[in-house]
Amino acid sequence: MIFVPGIYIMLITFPGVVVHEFAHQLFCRIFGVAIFEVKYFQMANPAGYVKHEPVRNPIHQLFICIGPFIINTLLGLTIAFPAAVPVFILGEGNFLDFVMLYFGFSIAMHAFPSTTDAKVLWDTIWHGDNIPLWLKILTVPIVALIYLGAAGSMFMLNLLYGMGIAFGLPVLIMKFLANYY
Amino acid sequence: MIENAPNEQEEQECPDACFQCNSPDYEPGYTVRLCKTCRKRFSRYPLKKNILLGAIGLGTLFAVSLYSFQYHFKAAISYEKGITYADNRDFVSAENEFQSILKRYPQNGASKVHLLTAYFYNNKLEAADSIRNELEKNPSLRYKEDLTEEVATFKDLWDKTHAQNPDLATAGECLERNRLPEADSILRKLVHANPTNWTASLLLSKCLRQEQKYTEALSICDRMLSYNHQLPAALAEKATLLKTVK
Repeated sequence: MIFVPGIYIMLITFPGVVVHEFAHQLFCRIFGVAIFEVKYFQMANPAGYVKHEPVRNPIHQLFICIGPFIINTLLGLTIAFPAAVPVFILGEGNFLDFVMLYFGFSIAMHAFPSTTDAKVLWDTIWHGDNIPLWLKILTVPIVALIYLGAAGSMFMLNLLYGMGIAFGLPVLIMKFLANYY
Repeated sequence: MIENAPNEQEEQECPDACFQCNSPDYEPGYTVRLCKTCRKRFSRYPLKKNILLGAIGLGTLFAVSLYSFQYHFKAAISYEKGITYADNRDFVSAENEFQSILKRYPQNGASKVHLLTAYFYNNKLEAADSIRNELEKNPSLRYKEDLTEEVATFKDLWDKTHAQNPDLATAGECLERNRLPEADSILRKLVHANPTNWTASLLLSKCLRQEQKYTEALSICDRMLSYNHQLPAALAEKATLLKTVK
C-alpha cells in the first residue's frame, strides 16, 4: 500500500504506484497466491492496493512485501540508465531521454514498501505459527527499515531515493565501468 | 497495498469445499479454501488493458532509448576515461579520449574544455587557443560552471606564455649559436616567471644538458613530467639525458 504524502506527488509520479502494485501482484502470481482485487492507481488514500489471500508459506509473504523494492528499483534503474548517461555525463540529452528519466525516477521513487506492507509481514511472520527463528530474526531489520523509510518519506526520502537510483547510480556505474572497459 | 481477502468463509455454500467451485478437493494449509485450479486462476489476476498498453508504450520508448544508448555508452566511457586520465595527469591519453568524443558530438562543450586543457599540457598551444576562441565565440556550447574557471585559467597562462615569446626566441637563438650561459640565464628567468611554459622548460633542459649540468636538467624534465606524465618532448629529453649520463 502507498500512503499519500501529497496526492499531487502521487498523481505526477503515478507510473511508480502502478509498478509498485504490479510488483505485489507479480510475486503473488509467482508464488500462486490468490488475488481478489488489484487497484493500480486511484486518487485516494491508499493510492493503490492488492487484496490477496493469507499466504501458506511465510517466505512468500516476505517476497510479496519487498517485491516492489526489488522490481521498482531494478526497473527504475534500467529505464533511466540509457537516458541518464547522455544527460548527466555528456550533457547531450534529448526529449526522449528526459521522458525516460521521468519514468525511471517515478518508478524508483515508489520502491519503498508501505507501513501496511510491513504490518502484514510482521503479523504473518512474527506472530505466525511454526515460523523458523531465523526468518523471524530476518524480518526484524526489514520491518524496521520499512518503517524508517516510511518515516523518511515525510522528509522526501523516497524522492531522494528515486533521484539516487535514476540519476546518480547510472553515473556511478559508468565511472566504475570506465575503469574496467 | 496488501490486504487479506474478505471473509470468504461466509460466502462459502459448503464449508468443506472450494469456495469458488464447491469442489471438495481444496488445497490444505490455506485460510481461504480454494482448489488448485481456482487458486491458480485467482493468482493469475488479469492485467487491465490500459496497464498493458502503458507497459507496451513504455517498452517501445525504452527500446528506442536503448538503440541510441550504444552510441552514448561508448562516448560516456571515453568521457569518464578522459577525466580519469586528466586527473592522473596522463594528458596524451586524455586528448585521444576527448577527441574521440568530439568526433561523435562535435558541439559537446565540456569535452572541448577538457580537450583544451589536454592540448595545453601537451604543449599544443595553438590548438588549445583555437578551442578557446571557439568557446568564446559560440556561447551555445554549453558546459558546466566549474569548467569556466578552467577556460579562464588557460587564458591567463596563454597570455603569460605568449608575452614571453620574444625572450624565448632570443634564448633559442643563443642556444643555436652555442651561447649557453646567456641562453641559460634567459630561460631560467622565463621558467621562474612561468613554470608552465613548456617550450622554455624544454630549451632550458637542453641548454643544461649541453652545459653538462645533468642533474639539474633531469630535475627540469621531472618537473615537466609531474605536470603531464606523458609529455612526449619531456620524455624524449629525459631519455636523451639518461642515455648521455650512462
